[in-house]
Amino acid sequence: MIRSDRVIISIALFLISCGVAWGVERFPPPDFESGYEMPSPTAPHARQNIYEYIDVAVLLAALTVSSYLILKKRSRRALFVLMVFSLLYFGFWRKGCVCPIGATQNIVLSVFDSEYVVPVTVAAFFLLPLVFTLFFGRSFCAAVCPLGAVQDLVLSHPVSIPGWAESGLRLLAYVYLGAAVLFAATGSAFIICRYDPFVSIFRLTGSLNILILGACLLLIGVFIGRPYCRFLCPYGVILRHLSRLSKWRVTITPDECIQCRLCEEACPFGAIKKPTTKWPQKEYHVAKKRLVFLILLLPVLIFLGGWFGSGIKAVTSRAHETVRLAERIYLEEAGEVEETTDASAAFRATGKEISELYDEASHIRSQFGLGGWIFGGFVGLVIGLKLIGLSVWRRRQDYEADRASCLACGRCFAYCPREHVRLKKAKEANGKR
Amino acid sequence: MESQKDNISEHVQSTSPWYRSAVATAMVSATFSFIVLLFLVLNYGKSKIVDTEDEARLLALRAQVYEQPDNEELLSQVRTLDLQIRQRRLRAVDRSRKGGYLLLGGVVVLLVSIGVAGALKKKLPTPGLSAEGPDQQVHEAKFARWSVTAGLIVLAAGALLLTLKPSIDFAGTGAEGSSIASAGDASQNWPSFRGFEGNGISPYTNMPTRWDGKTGEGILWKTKVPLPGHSSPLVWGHRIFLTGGDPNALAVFCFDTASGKLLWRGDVTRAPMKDDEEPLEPMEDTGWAAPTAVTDGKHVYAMFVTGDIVCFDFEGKKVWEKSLGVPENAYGHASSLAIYRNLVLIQYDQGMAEDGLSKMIALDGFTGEVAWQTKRPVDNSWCSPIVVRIGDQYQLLTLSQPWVIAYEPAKGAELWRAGEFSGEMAPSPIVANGLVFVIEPYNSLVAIKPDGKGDVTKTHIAWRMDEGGPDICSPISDGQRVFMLGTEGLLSCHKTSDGARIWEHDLEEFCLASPSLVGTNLYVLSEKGLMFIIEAADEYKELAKCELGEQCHATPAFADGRIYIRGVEHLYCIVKEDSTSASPQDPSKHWPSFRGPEGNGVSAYTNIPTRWDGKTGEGVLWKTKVPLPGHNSPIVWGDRIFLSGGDPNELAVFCFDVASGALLWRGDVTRAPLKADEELLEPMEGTGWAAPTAVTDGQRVYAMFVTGDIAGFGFSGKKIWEKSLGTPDNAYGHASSLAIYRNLVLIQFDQGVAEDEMSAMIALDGFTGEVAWRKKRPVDNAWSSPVVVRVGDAFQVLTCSLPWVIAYEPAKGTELWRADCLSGDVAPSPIYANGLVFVIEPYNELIAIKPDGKGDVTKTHIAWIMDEGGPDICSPVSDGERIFMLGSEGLLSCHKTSDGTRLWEHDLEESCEASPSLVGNNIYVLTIKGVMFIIEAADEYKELAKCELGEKCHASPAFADGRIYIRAVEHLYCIGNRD
Amino acid sequence: MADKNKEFDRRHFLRDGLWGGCLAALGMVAGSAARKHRQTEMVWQIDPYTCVACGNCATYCVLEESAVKCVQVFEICGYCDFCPGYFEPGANVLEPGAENELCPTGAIKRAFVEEPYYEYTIDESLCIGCAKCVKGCAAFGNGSLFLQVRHDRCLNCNECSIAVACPSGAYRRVPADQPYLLKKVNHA
Repeated sequence: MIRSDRVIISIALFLISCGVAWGVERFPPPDFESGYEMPSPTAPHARQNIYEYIDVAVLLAALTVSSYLILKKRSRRALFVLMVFSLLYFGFWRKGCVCPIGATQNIVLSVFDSEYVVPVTVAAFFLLPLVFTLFFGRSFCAAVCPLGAVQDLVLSHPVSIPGWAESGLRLLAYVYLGAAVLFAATGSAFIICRYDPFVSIFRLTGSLNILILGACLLLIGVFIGRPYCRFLCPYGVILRHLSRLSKWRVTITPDECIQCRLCEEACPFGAIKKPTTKWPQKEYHVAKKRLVFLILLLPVLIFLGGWFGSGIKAVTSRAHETVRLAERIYLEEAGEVEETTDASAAFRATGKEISELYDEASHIRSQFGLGGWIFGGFVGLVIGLKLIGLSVWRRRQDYEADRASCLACGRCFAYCPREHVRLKKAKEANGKR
Repeated sequence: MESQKDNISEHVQSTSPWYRSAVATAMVSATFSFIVLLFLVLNYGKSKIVDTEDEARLLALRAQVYEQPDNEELLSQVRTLDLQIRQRRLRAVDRSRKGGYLLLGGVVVLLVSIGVAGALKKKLPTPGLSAEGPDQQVHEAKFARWSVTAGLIVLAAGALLLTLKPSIDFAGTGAEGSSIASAGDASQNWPSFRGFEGNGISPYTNMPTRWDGKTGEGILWKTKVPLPGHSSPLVWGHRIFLTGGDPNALAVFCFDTASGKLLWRGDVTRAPMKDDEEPLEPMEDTGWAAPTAVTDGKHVYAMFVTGDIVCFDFEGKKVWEKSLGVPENAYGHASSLAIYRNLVLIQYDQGMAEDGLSKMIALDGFTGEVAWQTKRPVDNSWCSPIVVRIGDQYQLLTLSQPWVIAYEPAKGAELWRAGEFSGEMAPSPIVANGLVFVIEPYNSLVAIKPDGKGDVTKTHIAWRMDEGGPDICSPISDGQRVFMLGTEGLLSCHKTSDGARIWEHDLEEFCLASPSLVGTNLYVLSEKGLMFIIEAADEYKELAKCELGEQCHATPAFADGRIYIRGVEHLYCIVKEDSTSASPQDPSKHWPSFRGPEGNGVSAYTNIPTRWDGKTGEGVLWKTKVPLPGHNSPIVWGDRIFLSGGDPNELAVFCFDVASGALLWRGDVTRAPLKADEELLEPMEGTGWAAPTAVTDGQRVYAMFVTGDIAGFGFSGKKIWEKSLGTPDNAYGHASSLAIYRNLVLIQFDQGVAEDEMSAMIALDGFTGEVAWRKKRPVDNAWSSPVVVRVGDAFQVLTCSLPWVIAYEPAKGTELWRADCLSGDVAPSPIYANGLVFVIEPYNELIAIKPDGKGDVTKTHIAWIMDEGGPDICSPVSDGERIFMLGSEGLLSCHKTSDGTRLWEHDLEESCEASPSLVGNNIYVLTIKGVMFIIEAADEYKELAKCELGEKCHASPAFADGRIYIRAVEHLYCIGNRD
Repeated sequence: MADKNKEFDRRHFLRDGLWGGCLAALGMVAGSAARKHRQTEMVWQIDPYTCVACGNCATYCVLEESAVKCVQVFEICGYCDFCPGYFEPGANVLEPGAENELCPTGAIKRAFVEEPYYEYTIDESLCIGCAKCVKGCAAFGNGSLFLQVRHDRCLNCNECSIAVACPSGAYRRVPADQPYLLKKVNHA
C-alpha cells in the first residue's frame, strides 16, 4: 500500500515538473464572442477490471474441469471439447494475453524491481496452473493452454522422434527460461511475449516475422506433436518438474498394466515409457565410472556456464534500452556515427549528463554480469543433471506415462484394453440401474 | 473424437465414402486456404511496395506545388493521387482482415477433415515382438547423452562467439566524452555577445592599434554582409558568425577568418503569423537581427526579433528551429543569447511586469526542446543575460526593471534577486572584482554582492553611485576600475571598490557599441566607425584613434591578433600592421606586377646574374614546365612566383616555388558562360589566352585573362573570388596587365572605339572582388598596361590609349589630368621617370608630360615631343637621365629625358616582344629567340654580355634578389648565381 | 525386504518434503504479489511531455491500425488560422487540400468558428498516429495536439511493442481508472 502511494505521488510530481517544462504557449487561447464552446477531448475507457477477474475465474474453472476429465472421467473427447473452448476463449477471444507463460516474467520482474507491482490477476494466472500441477499433473497443458491447444489441434500425422533428439532439443526450453528470467529480472525485455509465436495468429495480425514463425511451428506441429510445448515452452519447464511431484497423475491404464504393449505407439509426445529389464552386467562397471565422472563434472559445468554467461554480458545487456542508448551516444560522441537517432536526440533533450547515462549503463551491465553468472550456472546445472539422469538406470515394470513430459492429452486411454473393460463395466452398471 | 471413432473403424474399409469425402474436403479446403494465403501475401507486398512508391511521388508533386502554386492540373493531380493512396490503404487493411478470417476458416475445415480422415483410416496398433532388450536402452541412453553433450557444445560455441564480439567500454570516458566545449576552450574564442562570460574582455592582448578603412591599411579583408543587423560577430576557430534580417528574410552567416569568404548562409523560416496579430515592425534602431547569436563550439544558435530561434551546426546544416512566439516588446526583442553547457539561455522579457509574460527560457541545444523555464516578474528589456562563474558555481545574471535576478543555470532555480531598479534597461550586467555591476540608465551604477539568497536588496548592495549611468552601452571593468560609456560619448571611470568617480571624458562621438578591454586598453567604437583606443588607467589617455569609414552599431569581436568589426554593410577583419604586407613601400622588395613595383621595369636589386647559357644549363638554377601557355610575365613575391596561362578550354593561375621551381598550386578559373548572341572569342596568336600579367598585394594574387574573367587567389591557392567583366570587344583580345594600389586591383578595360563608350577604368576591391570604383574612358581599345606611380606624395594611375593619356587618383578613381596626344594602336605602357611621364605613340613619337596638371593638359603640360619614331610593342625604360626604347625589330635607341634628343641608336638585329628592364645601370633586353642582351645604360652603346636561353620568349622577365625569372614559351627559367 | 521398504519410505518422505516445499514457495510468491498488489489494473499510456513525435506509434503497434491516435486539447489550442499542425509550413493558401495538409490521411477537420478562429478536430477513424501534426504543433504552436493510447483499441499487451520501440521512454503503465495523460492547461 505505502509503496503504491509513493508511486502515485512520484508520478504526479513528475507530471507537474513536465508541465512546467513544456508549456510554451505562443498563442493565448481566444475568447469567443459567438458563444462557441469548447468540446472536451474524448477518452474511451479501458477494459473493465471485472473482466480480468472473470478471466481468472474461467481459468480456474477450466483447470478444474480438465483435471476432473483427466483423472476421473478419463475422456479424450471431453478434453478435446475443453481444448477447443480454451483456444476460443483464451486464444481468439482474449487475444492470448495475458497468459501464464508470459506472466512468469511479470512475477520475476516484481521480485527484482521493488517499484513494479504485479496485478493480482496476472499473479493468479501464473500461480493457478502451478498449484494444479502440484496436485493433478499438467492439466493446464492438457486442455487449458491456448498455445498447447492450437498445436494439439493441428497434430494429425504424428511421427515419433527418437528419444535422444528429444532430450537434446529439450535443453532449448531451459535456456529460453533462463534467458527470459534474466531479461525480465533486469527489466530489459519480456522476450517470451516478444517472441510468442501464436499470439499473432490469435490476433490475426502482427509483425510478419512472428506470423511466419507461428505458421512454421504449426506446420511442424502437424507431424511433431506440440513442438513449442516440448522444446521451447519456458513455463512448461516449471510444470515438468512440479508434475514430477504431483499428488495424483494420469495413468494409461485405469487399474493394472497387462503388458499388452498396445499403447506403445499411442503417445505422439514420446511420453510413454516402456518397462525396463535388469542392468546388463557388462555395462555395469563402465556406467558406475561414468556416473562418478559426471557427478564430478557437474560443478565444473556450472562454473563454465556461469563464466560464459557473464562473459556475454556486453551483448546481453544490449537488450536494455539504456545500454543501447548509452552505446549509441558513445559512438556519436566519438564521432564514429554522424547523425543522431530519435532515441539519442530525445536523451540529449533531457539535458541529462552523458556521464550519468554511462554510469547507469555500466551499472546495468554489471547486473547482467551477475545475472549472467546465475543464468549460465543454471544452464550448466541443467545439462549436468541431465547427463547424470541419463546415466542412471531406472527400473520400470509397467508401461507408464512419464511424470514429467506427459501432457495429459488423454490419447492413450483408448488404447488400453483395461480402459475398455472399465467402460463396459460402467455401461453395465448404468444398465442395471 | 478419435476415442469413440476407432471401435467403429475396425469394421470400416479404408474406402468408405465418408473417408473419400473427408479427403476431398481436405483437398478443397487446403487449396482454398492456400489461395487465400497467396492473396494475403500479395496484398501485403502491394501495400508495402506500391504505396511507398506512390507516397514518394506524392511528396515530389507537393514539392512542385510550392514552386508553381497556380498550376491547377498539378493541384488536381496531387489531390487525386492522395485520395487513391488513402483509399488503397483502407482497402488493404480491410482485405487483410477479411483474408485473415477466411484463412482461419479454411484451415479449421482442413484440420477437421484431415482429423476425420485420419480417424477413419486408423488401424489398431499391432505391436511386433519386442526385439529390444537392455542393449537397446543402453544405446538410447548413450545417444541421448551424446545429443545433450552436442547441445552443450553448441551453446558454449555460441557464447564464445558472443564474448569475442567487440564491446564498448564506458569507463574512462567522462571528460572527453562530453560534447560541449570546455570552458577553457570557449574562453579562447569569442562565443557570445561581448565574448566569454559577456564581460567584453579579450583573452588576447596582441591587438592592432592602427588601421584606416579609407586606404585599406591594416585591413586584412572586408566582406559584404548580405543582410543588415545590429548583432555582433561571434568567433570560434576559423569561423565568424553573424545574423542578419529584413522583413522578408532572417539568416545566419558564417564567414572564413582567413579570407572573409562567406562559408555558408542558413535561412530561418519564420513561424506562421497568427492573422489577428499585425505584422511585426521592429524599430529602426533594433532591426530584425538585434540579438547576438551564441555558439558552443559545435553549433551556433541564433535568435531574431520575431522570437524565432534556430540552431545550425558548423557546416551550416540546420539542426532545429522553433518559435517562442512574437514577443510583446515595444522595440522588438533585442536581448542576446547566453549559453551554459548544452543550454541556450533566453531572457524573454515581454510586456509589463503585471502581464506576467516575461520568462527565462533554457532550450536544450541538441533538440531545441525546452529544458526549463521560469516566469519573471519584470518588464521587457534589452539587457542580455550573462553566465558567470562566481566562486565555484555558475550564476545566470539577468537585469530588467525592477529586478536583478540570478539563476542557477542548469535547472533554473532562482539564487537571489535585488531591486528596485527603474528605467528602460539596456546595458547588460557585468561581474568584476567579486561584484555584480548593474546600470540604471541616466541614474546610477549599482554594485551587488552575488553571494546572497532570496531578496538581497537590503543586505547585499555594496554601493550605489548616483551620478548617472549610460542608457545603452554596457559597462566594462578591469578589476579596479569600471568604465561606463554614454551614447553621447561621455566616458567615465569609477573605482570598483566604492564607485567614486576617477575621471570623465567626452569623446564627442555618438556611441552604440559597448566598449571592450584588451590588455590595459579600452576599445571604444563610435557610431561613425571611429575606434578610440584609450588607456585603462587612472587618468584619461587616448592612445590612438582609427577610422573605419563605415557606420557601426555592433560591438566588435576580438580574436588572436584580430578585430572583427561589423559595419552597417560590411564585416571588417583588422590585423596588426606588420602581419599584413599590403603596405606601400613593401612591394618594391618584390616584383608584384608587370614590369615590377612601379611598372617601369626597374629592378630594386643590382646583384643580377650577367652570364648564363640555357644550352649548357650554366647559370640556370632550375627550369620547370608551365602547364598552360601565355604571354604574361612572371610576378614574384617572397618565395612564390605567379604565372597565368590559358588555352581555349581552361584558364589557370600557377604558383611556383622560387627555390625549386616546383608547382606549389594551380588555381583554375571558371570562364563566364557565353551569352546566347555572343560568338566564341578567338584571340589572335600574338595575344593568346593569358596575355595580361597578374598582380599581387602580398596577400592574394589577382589574375585576368583575355576573356575578361578575373580571379583572386590566396597565397595558399584558395580561390577567394572570381568574376567576369564580360568579353572585351577588342580586336586582339584583352592584353593590358593589372595594376595594384593597396587593396585595389586596377584594370584598364578598354574596348571598341571611343565612340562606343565601352572603355572603362575599373578598380576592384581585392578582398571581395566588388567594384570599388569605375570610370568611363573616352578611348579606343589598347594593350598598354596601367601603372601606379608615386608622383610627389600622391599616387597616380597612368593609362594611355588612343587618343588620351589619363591619370587617375587610385583610391577613388577621380581623374587628375588628361592629355590628347596619342594616335595608333597603343601597346607600350607609360613610365614615370625624372618627374616626367613618358608615353609612346607607336612608329611616331615619344612624348614627355608633366604630371602635375589638372584637367586637360594637352596645351600646357607637354614637356617635349620627340617625333623620330617610337616602338610599337615594347615599353620604354629609363635610368633617369636617359630613356631607352626598343622596337620590335630590335632597334634600340637612347634619348635624353630632359629634352628627348637622341644619344645613340643601335640595331640588335633581333626581333623583340619583351620590354627591356634596368638593373643597376645595365639594360636587359630579351629577344624572341631567347637571347638576352646586357647593355650598359650609358651615353654610347656598349654591349656587356649576350646570353642564350635556347627557347623562344615573349614575356618580359621578372627580377628578384639575385635572380631572373624568364618565361619562355614552354618553360619558366630561374637564372641566378648558384650559392 | 525390510530395508527395501525403508528405502521406499525415504523416497516417499523426500518427495513429500519437496512437494511441500514447492507449495510453500508458490505460497510465498502469492504472498509477495498480494503484499504489493494494487487494486486497479495497469494500462499503457504515452506521456505527452516526453513524447518526441517520432512516428513509431503508427508502425509498431501489433494492431494493423495503431491503437495510438492524436488527441486535441481544445483548452490549449490557439485556434490559429494558419495551424502549424494542420498546414504544411510552406502552404500557399490556407485552405484544406492534399497539397496543403500535413496529415497523410486527412484526419484533421478544420472548421470555421469566428473571425479569425478555426476549430481543429481529429477524426479518429482516420488517424493513424503518425504524429506529423504533433510535431508541427509542438514546434510552432501551443502543443495542443498530442498522441494518446486509445483504450477502446489497445489490447494492453503484456509487453507493448510500441513501448519497446519508443525512443524517448514516453510509454509507461498508468492505473486503468485514469488511463489518459492529457496535457494540463497552464494559463498563469
